[in-house]
Amino acid sequence: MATLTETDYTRVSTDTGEQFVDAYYTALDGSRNQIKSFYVPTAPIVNGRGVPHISYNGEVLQDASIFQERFEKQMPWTHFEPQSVNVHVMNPSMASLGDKPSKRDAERNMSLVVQVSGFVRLHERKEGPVRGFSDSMVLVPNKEEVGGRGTGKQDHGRRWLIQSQNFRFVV
Amino acid sequence: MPASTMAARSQSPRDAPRGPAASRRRGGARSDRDGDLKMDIAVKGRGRIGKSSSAPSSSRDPASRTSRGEARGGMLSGTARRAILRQAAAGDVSMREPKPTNSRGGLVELSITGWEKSKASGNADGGVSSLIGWLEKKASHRLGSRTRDVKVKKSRKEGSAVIISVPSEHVGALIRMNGYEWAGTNVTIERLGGSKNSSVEVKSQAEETKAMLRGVLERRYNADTKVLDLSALGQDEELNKANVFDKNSTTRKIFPALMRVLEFSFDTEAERHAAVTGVSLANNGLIDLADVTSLSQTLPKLQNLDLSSNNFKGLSSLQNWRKRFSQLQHLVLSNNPLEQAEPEYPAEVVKWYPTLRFLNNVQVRTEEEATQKAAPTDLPFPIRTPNFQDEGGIAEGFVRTFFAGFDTDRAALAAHYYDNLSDFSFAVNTQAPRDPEATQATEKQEWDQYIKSSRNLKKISQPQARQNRHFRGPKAVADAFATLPKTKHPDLATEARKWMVEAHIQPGVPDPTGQSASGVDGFMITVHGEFDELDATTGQAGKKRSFDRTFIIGPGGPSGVRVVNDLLTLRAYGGAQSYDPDNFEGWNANATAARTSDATPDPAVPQLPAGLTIEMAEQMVAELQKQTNMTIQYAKDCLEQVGWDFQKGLEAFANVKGNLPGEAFVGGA
Repeated sequence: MATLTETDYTRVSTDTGEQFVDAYYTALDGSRNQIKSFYVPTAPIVNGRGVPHISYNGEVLQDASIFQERFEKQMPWTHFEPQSVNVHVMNPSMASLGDKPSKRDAERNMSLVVQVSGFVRLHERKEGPVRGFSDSMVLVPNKEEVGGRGTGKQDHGRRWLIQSQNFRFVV
Repeated sequence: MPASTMAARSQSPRDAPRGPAASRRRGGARSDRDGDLKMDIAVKGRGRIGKSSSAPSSSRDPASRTSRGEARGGMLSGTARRAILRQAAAGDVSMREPKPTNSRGGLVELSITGWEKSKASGNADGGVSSLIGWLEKKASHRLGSRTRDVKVKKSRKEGSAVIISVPSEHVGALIRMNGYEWAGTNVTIERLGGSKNSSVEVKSQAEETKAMLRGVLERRYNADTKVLDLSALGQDEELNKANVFDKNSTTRKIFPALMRVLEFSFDTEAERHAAVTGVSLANNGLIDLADVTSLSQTLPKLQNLDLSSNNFKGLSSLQNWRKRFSQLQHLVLSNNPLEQAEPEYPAEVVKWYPTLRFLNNVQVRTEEEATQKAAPTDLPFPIRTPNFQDEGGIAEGFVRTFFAGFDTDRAALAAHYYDNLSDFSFAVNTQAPRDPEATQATEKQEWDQYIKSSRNLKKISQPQARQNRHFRGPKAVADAFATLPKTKHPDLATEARKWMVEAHIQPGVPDPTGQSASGVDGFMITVHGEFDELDATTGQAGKKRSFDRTFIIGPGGPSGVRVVNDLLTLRAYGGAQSYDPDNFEGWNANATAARTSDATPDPAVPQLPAGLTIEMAEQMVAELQKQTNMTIQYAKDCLEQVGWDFQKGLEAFANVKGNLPGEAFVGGA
């Protein structure tokens, strides 16, 4: 924990948040078969604390593949436009990393809170109806110990995954 | 909202229309609104009902198209038409009335003759007062950003003439009416002591055309109903008299020019939309929308549109406007061949216009349906009741305390909930969608008070700026709070409709005691709502804004609850429709379903069937507890599962008591 400065935290959290938000909404619009790869794998529910927690317009889903299927099969054409994005570090140090952790490990040992405000155009380009939305997510690093498949030696795959999310139409 | 429901339901199609169709019918025989100009219109297409659609002009095959095109070439070539438009647009002709350069130019006398044989001659004064009333009304401008109110200052009778005195700046408008028909007779209007037109400065041809078109629009505009009646343009005496347009192509030539003049009459689009909400294009012999398509550009927010008594053969001829007029409420298509050709057309048209209420004066949607349609619900994620997962009322208590404190004492609030590791920042979404029923105007620099510290990462890219706009610890948070305008949020209890508050348990929240690095359970709380900005000195409510606020809260701090993260988004007022319970999908069914599937019982908000008060429920729980020795929680769960039927609760208990764990009983486990 001590190895990262406040500047590091700001850089890692905001860069991560921005990149994640861009990739995530692009997938909702255009590569819906990728959606579940943005979420942590489903873990058994213990005392209502199952992950991922996906709350979408008030409906709770605890399995990203159900969420993906809804988008793939039922969701009309969408264009999500995140207009405002803000990110905080939630937990700066999720696990004890020993005496001398590498900077890379330390940068992957935090969880983040992301808040997005924007609009989604539905059904069709230009003339489809528009809804304002607000989306809040907690992101965790993609690591085996948090239930992910990891990014592998080559650092492939998504580095961050949604652990919990609350989405609402607000306009 | 029962009141609005009642109102909408009781509205029969008969008394509802205020659109072009209504005004058209009210007039009886065709006439303009004042009833002063008999237009003698052959109602084209009227007699067509029942006839087969093989009318002579019906064909859409290429050959007849060509011939139609040729016919349209007519007297005025396309070049001439373009020239008129170009001149109109180029500004060598001022589309607005020239400003009176000398408004104190004194009075000018005009002589009006030829009025004596009017229908009003039987009046006590021979019709003079009604003549003057007509002149004033006719010469005044009602359509446009600068209205002109013409007043006749003095009048006297001199033989067969009426001499009126008007301010010099209005002379032109009155002279232009020379030859107009009033009450069954044509009146002559001349400047006294001058030759016929000497008072009016010599105008270019284009300027005269512009003035003529302006007059046509003015005459056909009803300021009370806000309807612009552009029906039967081919039979318009003034347009025909002007002789600029060939009769067969009048509509095609004149329409874009009329739209142009209409646009130039207003300074802003908003003024134009407010002034004209309905248009009638009835009786124009239209076979498609090619001639009139500019209407959808000039008046895209039209609410009422009358296309009756034209020659539309099918819906395909209306295809151009399928995606236009997104706010259309009332459409009239009757007396078109498509009625016979495609009897099923109404269903399709209703789909085209999601806010349409009336088609051919028949109600096709109630007010609520139309409003709901504007907010599509056919998504796989329908709007549902808030998902509020709490434990021991922690999240609920936090929200209540927080927003009360934010309005009244932010410094104390910061000290209460924020510690040295608590983070706060806010972001402004200046481009957020606004309330669909918005009334508030956007002002310049309206986010000035917020923007300096806004941490919208889409706008703020410098790492240092990002860090500076992030506040940690009670002092920094309190200071940041102090920079924000004073607020008043609606009451959470009495104005719950204006809020959407959700919460769920969030694992992995930092443990302030440091015992668990992987963290402890906390809550993620999301709040969407609105507030009034209060003026710092007067305390008066000012601008209304909407906000989204995401909290991560965890155990710790002096109050037992600490804010770990507080992210606030500010945006333009977006209304509360999107979380209005009236719009919730299957509101009751879902509430029950959510109850039974919810893994964490929420003691704070019992879901009771209608007619059951909390007191009655408490008595039932107490009685069941007494008879079974179960804990309060188990007794309550048991009653909930059987729908609060006491006997069934006892039976259910008898069935499962052998399987219940010890903790289910008082003093057990």
